[in-house]
Amino acid sequence: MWDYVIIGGGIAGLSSGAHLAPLGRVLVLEGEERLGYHSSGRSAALYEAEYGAPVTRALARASGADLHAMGVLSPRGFMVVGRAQDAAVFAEDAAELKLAPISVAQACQRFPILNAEIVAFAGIAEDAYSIDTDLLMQVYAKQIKRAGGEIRTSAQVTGLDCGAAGWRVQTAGDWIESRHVVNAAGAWADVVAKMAGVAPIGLQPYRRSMAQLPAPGGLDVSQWPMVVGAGETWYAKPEAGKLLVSPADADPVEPHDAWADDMVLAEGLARFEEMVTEPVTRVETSWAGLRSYAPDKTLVLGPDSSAPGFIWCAGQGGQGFLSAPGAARALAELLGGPASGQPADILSAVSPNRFRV
Amino acid sequence: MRKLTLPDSHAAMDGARRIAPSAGRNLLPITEVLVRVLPGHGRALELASGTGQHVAAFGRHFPGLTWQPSDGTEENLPSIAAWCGAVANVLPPVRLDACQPGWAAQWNGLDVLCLTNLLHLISDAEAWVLLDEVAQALAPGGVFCLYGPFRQAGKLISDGDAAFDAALKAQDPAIGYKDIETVMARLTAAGLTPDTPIPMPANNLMLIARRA
Repeated sequence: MWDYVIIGGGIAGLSSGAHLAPLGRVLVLEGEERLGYHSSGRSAALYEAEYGAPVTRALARASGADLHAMGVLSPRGFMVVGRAQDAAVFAEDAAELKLAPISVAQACQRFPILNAEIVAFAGIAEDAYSIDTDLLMQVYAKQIKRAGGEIRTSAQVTGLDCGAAGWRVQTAGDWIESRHVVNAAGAWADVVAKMAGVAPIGLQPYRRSMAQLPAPGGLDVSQWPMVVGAGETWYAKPEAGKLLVSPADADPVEPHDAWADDMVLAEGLARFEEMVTEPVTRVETSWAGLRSYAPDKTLVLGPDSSAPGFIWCAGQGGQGFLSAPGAARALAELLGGPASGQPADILSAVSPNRFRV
Repeated sequence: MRKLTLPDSHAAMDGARRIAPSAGRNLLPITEVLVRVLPGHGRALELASGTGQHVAAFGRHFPGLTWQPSDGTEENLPSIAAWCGAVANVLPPVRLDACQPGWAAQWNGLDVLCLTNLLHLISDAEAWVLLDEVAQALAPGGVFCLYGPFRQAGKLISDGDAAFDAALKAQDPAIGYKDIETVMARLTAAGLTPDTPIPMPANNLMLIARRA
């Protein structure tokens, strides 16, 4: 008998597992052959706490200390640029993301391929960091194992039912018993809920695509900041000597192993190309991930009042990594663990029971 | 139905599914408003479902409601059906020309009515018919969610809006942006109570109106 069977071995399941392991026996089940195969393996991997819904931002701010201490952050910087006609949108972004305004010349110094004739506005947040997402997942996986927990891959959940003694979870032909089930199934979290006979929460996956380009002009991109087009119309981020460019797309799709749509990618690359001096001559590879949101764009964390022992850890959207430590601590508190430091209004704002009235 | 060339007219195809590039971008801001005003259960009708991408997402985001997609153009129905086929609480699409008087007699007692990005593409006369029918189709307590670009205080509020409105009028002088104040007055006259319009990204507005 397990205390917590966690469905999903992405950042949500692993961070929750690490923080629940001190409270009971934890088993993480991942349906794919490796951890973080879906959205967690396709992240833009940036820690910028002022990005997302207000509740997410509170959890993201609370995550900074853990992420620094775990050694997964490296300085990056986060710059927003706009054209002359983007004045209003740029002003909104600058206020929301608490950007320091900089001159176009300064912006071009930081990101040398920017087209100074097109860029009219620039602002930067220096306290934005690249997240080593693989390392972060490994650290959490080790914490789970060290605390006596277990992680199984290729362990897709095929059945879920609730009996008098707790939950039974079917995986790889076996039935496993657990006092609680934690639904950390990302884009599939509502599918898992339905399998369990629990009403879905209202999650919708939104696709986000990414193209990997060779370093423009053979330049060393390692110190460049992430750059975002005002209004989040595209972004570019240096990664391992390459430049990743995303159309910042948000097309609603069904839960699936996502891939990039060629036309969406081409339109996004054109928006990027308009702002830089180096043409895009070659896309080395492309991929897409799913950002799954509840209708209020806010995380769904904690026990479901409609189903005893059924716990949600879903709706991370595009903020799963940057809010993971704070969210996992909040989830542990909601399940009787130590105080997370989050105020009561944040803990109630993330509760799945906001959808249960 | 008139044929218009719009920013989304060159929609990509994915099998039967058409993809409107702007559909995704405005969805989450819309659902963040809807989550505060929609009931947990009941019958919802979307008018002018277009590609069907929006109503499929509404179905997933609001699983307690039963969603009926519709469109006035027969050729749109296969794309809507393709997007919504996997969503259990979205019904097969029906042809419904919301600009023709009389449809509320068949579609009445609705808890929710949604309309996104249509009023600027139809004439004033068609718009007023649509709004009158909407008011009659709602059940007492029902809610109408209207999203799109509007003239505000008689003005087109940005250069981009002025250019878009001019491009529409060049294709058909009868169509173009409606005054939000006139829309609210029409809804009030038809028996609904509109809230203050909510500013949305890209200068759009969301208007929520309820039947008492």
